Amino acid sequence: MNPFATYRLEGFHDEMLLALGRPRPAAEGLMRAAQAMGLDELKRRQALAEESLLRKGITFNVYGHADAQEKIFPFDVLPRVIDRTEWTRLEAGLKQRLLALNLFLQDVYNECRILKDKVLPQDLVLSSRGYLPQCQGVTPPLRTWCPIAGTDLVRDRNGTMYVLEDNLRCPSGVSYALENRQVMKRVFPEFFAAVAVAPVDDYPSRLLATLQSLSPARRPGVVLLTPGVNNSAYYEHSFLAQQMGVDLVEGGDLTVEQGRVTLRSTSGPQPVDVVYRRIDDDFLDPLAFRPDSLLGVPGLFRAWASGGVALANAPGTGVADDKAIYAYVPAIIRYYLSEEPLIPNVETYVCWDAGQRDHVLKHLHEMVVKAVNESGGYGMLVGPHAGEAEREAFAARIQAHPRNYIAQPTLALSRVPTLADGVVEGRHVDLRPYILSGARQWVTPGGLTRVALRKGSLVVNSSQGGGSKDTWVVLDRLGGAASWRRPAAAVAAAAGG
Amino acid sequence: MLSRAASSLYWTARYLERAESVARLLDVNLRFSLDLGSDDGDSWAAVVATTGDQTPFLARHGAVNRDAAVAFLAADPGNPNSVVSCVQAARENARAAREYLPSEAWEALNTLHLTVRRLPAEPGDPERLDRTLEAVRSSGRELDGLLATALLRDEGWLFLRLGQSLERADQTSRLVDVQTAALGAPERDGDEAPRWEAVARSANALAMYRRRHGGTDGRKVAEFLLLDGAFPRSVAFCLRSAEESLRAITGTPPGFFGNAAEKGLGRLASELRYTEMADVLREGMHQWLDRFQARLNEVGDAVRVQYFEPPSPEAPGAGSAAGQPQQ
Repeated sequence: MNPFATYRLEGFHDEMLLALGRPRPAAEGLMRAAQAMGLDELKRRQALAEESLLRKGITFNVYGHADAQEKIFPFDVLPRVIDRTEWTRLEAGLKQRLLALNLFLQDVYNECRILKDKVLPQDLVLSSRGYLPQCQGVTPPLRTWCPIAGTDLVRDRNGTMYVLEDNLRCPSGVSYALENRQVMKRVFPEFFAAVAVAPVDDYPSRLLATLQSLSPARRPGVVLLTPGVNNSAYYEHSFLAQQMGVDLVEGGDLTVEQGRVTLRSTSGPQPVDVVYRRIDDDFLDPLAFRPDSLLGVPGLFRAWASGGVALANAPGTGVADDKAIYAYVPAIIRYYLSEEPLIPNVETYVCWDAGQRDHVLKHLHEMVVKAVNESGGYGMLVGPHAGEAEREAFAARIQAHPRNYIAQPTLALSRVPTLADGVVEGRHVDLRPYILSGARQWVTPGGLTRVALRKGSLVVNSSQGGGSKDTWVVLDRLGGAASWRRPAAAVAAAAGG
Repeated sequence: MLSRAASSLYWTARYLERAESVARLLDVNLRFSLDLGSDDGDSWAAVVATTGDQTPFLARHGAVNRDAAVAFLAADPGNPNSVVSCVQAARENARAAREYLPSEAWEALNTLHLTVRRLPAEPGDPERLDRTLEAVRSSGRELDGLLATALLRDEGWLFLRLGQSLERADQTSRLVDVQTAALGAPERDGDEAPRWEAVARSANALAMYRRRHGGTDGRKVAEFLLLDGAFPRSVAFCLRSAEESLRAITGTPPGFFGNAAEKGLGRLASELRYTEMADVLREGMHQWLDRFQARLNEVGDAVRVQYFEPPSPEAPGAGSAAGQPQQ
């Protein structure tokens, strides 16, 4: 049976189809291959893919589920396709944005020019929970505060791609993007026959190069600091450490002495130059932040501040991905780079501002309200989907703590054909590319496509019933018979396992 | 290398070896009890005793019978030395040191974990139990092969081998110890040969034993398993291999020692090199094995203190309670 026989667009922008039965040019080969395969075969392969993910132990931990603590991250077999031309523009926009945000972080912890020039309200910045006064006067290596970012992009009904969120603290998910590609190649080799897809496998080596560039040492000692095996993203931490060939450490494995960090090894202390930390600021160092943290390393913050060790990301980057500061990122780009933003922001109302707050309270039923410091889909209200009581409760919270909330119009997120409940239907997606900023800037081609598997849902977070898909930046379209004409790199990538 | 990772690899190897030993023990005795034609409580009591867990077993089940022993040793998550628990612990430890392992080794271990976890708490279905125990043994071989061909010969490898050798020495000595009571004990009826053959089979040693000694004789089987320098599961062989690994970790030349672990292991291994079966029997096999086990435990403790434990006394890793080394 043709998997698309019952497919409906329902008025949304579709990432795969221009119209019913008419694939976008970049998706033609994929759609033909999926149609030739048929629905039953697609379902059979979906089961194979899930089995493969489970065997590899590609799981995340769900908090509060003691029994079935490890779950596989739900995976959908129909890739999301991005046209090369569009990707080139997005890539430039992401680099632009991270360049500006790193300049902003350096400024806001040092000269504060942007505050003196009143481009941003000083009170708004200083009241951000992510703003760490301890970081004042610090200049990290390469003046780069955020070497690893994962920016969330969404597309609206009109086809425009927006930045939805900047994740500048510990963005996660990249390992799923890499593993998704591996699984797709194994289970659906024929999907790759008719197109040249940009390979993603070199992320770990790019990440390692980025981390190494943060230290002047000739062969810097790099470690990945994890909260431990019970953390929800532990799989990713161990995956990245293994792929980079660096040690995966817990707080107790590191010691700070005389401003230098060492690792407790079987042959005594070994110097550490760069720490890729996947522990939140609050827990990083009990001497500098939360004194009750058992996960961090006492003295790590001071070692960083005095230049004894590089931290990626630096402490204090949270001020720049505060959702209220987000509203000012276009202004930040204009201020530091004298350029127009290449990727627009979603229209955002900052409840801290009285005028904007009034507008939000009057239009609550058509808005999405978000807590400025939350992530993972927690602490948010989707106005059109919420009941009257829930909206009133949220209105009260906004009035009590206006600084904590922003609101955005409810976007009609674009959809992608997805195998759900045994049929192919449209599901809403976002896109999280990963941007590395070290000695050079680099963006993952594509990144992680997260999909809201529940029908009609707009929440793509894995903690809220979201899954993921492979993401293809299609370099070139080729006739099925002429696959030998593909560029060598893409052939090697498609054949790899 | 990172101390915690060294510890995780060491315990991965120990638990995996323990899982395999228990699986083999169960397998052999399931067959053995078929020969006897009845539910032979005695031989199952010996099996439970081999694992050293009589007390928790009796607390849970009262008397020993086959079904209770099989449930306890194969699938009881409350028994830390059951096959299920050992595989789980091996996998949790490997998960904490994944960056040191080839991807395929992790995948093999994870697949084994998924297989073993599906075993019901009361493994009534003999075919399913059989397949699961077989999976434990064959995964052990698969992992041995993967590690032999794809693992860097660095400290990680050495700690894995150290853990495997020490655990194997421990398991083989336990296997022999349980049957020592039967050696020449007049109150036991009939021929002891089938029991000793079962012991040899549990150590995967019967065919090799025959090549070496021919007919079954309890003392000779014990000698083969304890002292034969050429059989890879014998206690003497395992200790030599453990000693080599430890010496490679520290870089100490043969005949010297650099720390308490090396000293203890070196003494124990060389004592075995200069021991004959007559010496063991003169002391009394059970007494000899008792003394050996105590000293092997001291070696394990010394390894832990020397390489794994933080220098200052503090609570063990708060963030990673699951799968921490335990005995």
